Amino acid sequence: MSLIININSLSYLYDYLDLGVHDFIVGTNQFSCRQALTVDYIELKEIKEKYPMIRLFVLVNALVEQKYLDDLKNHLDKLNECQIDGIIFQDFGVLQICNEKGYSFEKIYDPETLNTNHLTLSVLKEQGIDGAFLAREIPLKEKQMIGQNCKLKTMVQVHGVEYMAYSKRKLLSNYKEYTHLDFNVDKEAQIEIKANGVEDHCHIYEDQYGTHITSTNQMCALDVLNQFNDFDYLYIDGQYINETDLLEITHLYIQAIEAIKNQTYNKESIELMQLLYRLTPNVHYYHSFLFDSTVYKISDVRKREENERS
Amino acid sequence: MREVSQVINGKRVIVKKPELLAPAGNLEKLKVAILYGADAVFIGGKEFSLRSSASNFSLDDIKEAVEFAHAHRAAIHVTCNIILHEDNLEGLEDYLLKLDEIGVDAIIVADPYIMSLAKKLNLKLEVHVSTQLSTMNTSAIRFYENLGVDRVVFAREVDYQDLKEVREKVDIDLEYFIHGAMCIHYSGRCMLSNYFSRRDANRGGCSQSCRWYYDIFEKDQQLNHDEIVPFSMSSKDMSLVDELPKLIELGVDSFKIEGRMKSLHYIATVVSTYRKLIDTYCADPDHFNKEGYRREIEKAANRALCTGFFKDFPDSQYQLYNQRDEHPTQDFCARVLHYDASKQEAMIEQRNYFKVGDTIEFFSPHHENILIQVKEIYNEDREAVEVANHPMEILYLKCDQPLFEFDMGRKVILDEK
Repeated sequence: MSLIININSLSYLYDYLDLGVHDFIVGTNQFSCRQALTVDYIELKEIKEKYPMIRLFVLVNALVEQKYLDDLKNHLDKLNECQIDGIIFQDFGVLQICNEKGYSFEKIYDPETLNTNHLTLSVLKEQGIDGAFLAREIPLKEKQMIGQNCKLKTMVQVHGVEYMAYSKRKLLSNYKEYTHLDFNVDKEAQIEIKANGVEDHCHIYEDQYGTHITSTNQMCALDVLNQFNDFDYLYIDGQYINETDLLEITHLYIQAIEAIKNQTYNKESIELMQLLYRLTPNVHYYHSFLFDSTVYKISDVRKREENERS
Repeated sequence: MREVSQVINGKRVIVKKPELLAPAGNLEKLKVAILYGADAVFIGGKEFSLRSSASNFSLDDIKEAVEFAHAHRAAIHVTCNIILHEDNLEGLEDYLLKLDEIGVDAIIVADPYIMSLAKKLNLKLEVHVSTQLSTMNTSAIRFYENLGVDRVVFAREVDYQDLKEVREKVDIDLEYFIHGAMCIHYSGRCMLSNYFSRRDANRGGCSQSCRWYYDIFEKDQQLNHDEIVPFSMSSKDMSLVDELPKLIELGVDSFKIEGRMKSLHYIATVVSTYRKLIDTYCADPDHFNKEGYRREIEKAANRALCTGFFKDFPDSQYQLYNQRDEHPTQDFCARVLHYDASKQEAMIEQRNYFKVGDTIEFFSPHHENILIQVKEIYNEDREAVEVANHPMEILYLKCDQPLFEFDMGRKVILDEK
């Protein structure tokens, strides 16, 4: 298992390499969604030249309209020229183009919500994917089953805000238009929403691909990381975290991995969690769906509602 | 590209008539959908299907549905559009084999494993890619073609220009939503329900969290307050009734109506309106009069309608911010069970309150709409009653024009008179 960071700055790349982290995800200004950092082709090339140890993955995770298909093909060509190590995608159109062009970089399938069993991933491996980001909304036990039975690289989130929804519509702009309120809608505006009857807030922002919603609470697996041996990549999301905190948080996870190797994790994880709380006292951490499950059959929904009432 | 129209005896006619695909949540609705003109009906089984709230079909029900549909030259599509978790894998193969044996015409699938398994099992039924996979481009369609699928259902986010370009570039069957509720986010990619209710949207448990009200904050300062409505992400429903001629001319293979959980009245009204529109347009597209269809569709609408992404990019006018924008229709009041021509009397099943003096509009696949004023109502014991206020009660009404089994009656509300 190794860490992969949705990185939010290029300032500390040497420090990350010193920690032993080599895998990074960045966005570009085309076909990238929910990136923590946007770079251009020149910067991509420079990173690869300056830091040959780095394995660089680019988010190509927008869902793609037909009218932009030629732009997508050009973009993938340019990414290939930049000698990136892989892409993170969710539209099968992206995979199809890569297969037709024979690009050798890795294709990591991340539809955010759909990778929920190992047999589907086996079918997709036959279709050309090299790795898969497992859905956040399944319990750790199910993730482990997939990791154990899968013949391709698996990626799971261990830290950071979590994806919740993606709309093609300009939901904030539409609300502004309806209410005549005046506020910015981009990520920097730090707009949050809170559902009636629900305590937690969500981040919401717009970009050229629509509206994106993520949790404000941050997932954290630092205290249960010894249960993540079945996965190849442990993903840390750098969105909404400042660049020095992200480096520090990454360091804590590196220490946790070391402790697992040294069989001192049970003791050290408690200290690492305390360090995390001291570093980010205002962040609410949770285990997401790792030890929780969802229901879907009406009988189970009713049972859950009754349990909650009593 | 497939030929859509031809000139026959000096008149242009549409030779590639699209399939009208309707939803059904139970056998009664399925029969109504077919009798009112659906070419195909999509239903969900007890397992492997979204919409867990719909009263889904057992295998015996599916068998009966297939027999009824095939007897009426219609097809049955079964939704197997669940996103499979590890604990959903068991029993899938047997289920697909049984659907095939029963004679189901197609399955609607969102998980590539099911697509692959269906082909590996060499099933006769077609495999259709669900809208849950948000397909919007030809490269994605080529990917699914490689998996051996027979049809792709587009994402609702696809607009007319993209639809036109895709239609020109691929030969595979294409299906497009023309009517019904819309997810505000990309289908299959929304986890609001999972986070807020712990109900899995991708396995049929969606709690429709997008339609809730939300407080909105800019850097901790709340923007909505008493005078400003809360933030919401609720879409108006889609109806392409005015755009249908353009869609027919494109050569899209199937037009889908959403709503397995919708009422009998909704299904009858919507299916029958689109049926009449398609048939009339295809018979003489150059002299088509579009008047009246929208008004008919609106009788079954329980939310304001819009054209989704088809025509324009959806702005605030395409969303619902206020409960008053929703207008549930409660005027469906009767279903005809039998008509006795000698007595000029209809036996009906009461579906909503009505009384002597009300006007009821009966609609049907067999005749134009008929208006009758209720002068007398009799119960099963042949006693005269003034009001019909018992759900599903059998009643008798005088009507001098013939009605048919499965005709529907809706109370005419005051401003329609």
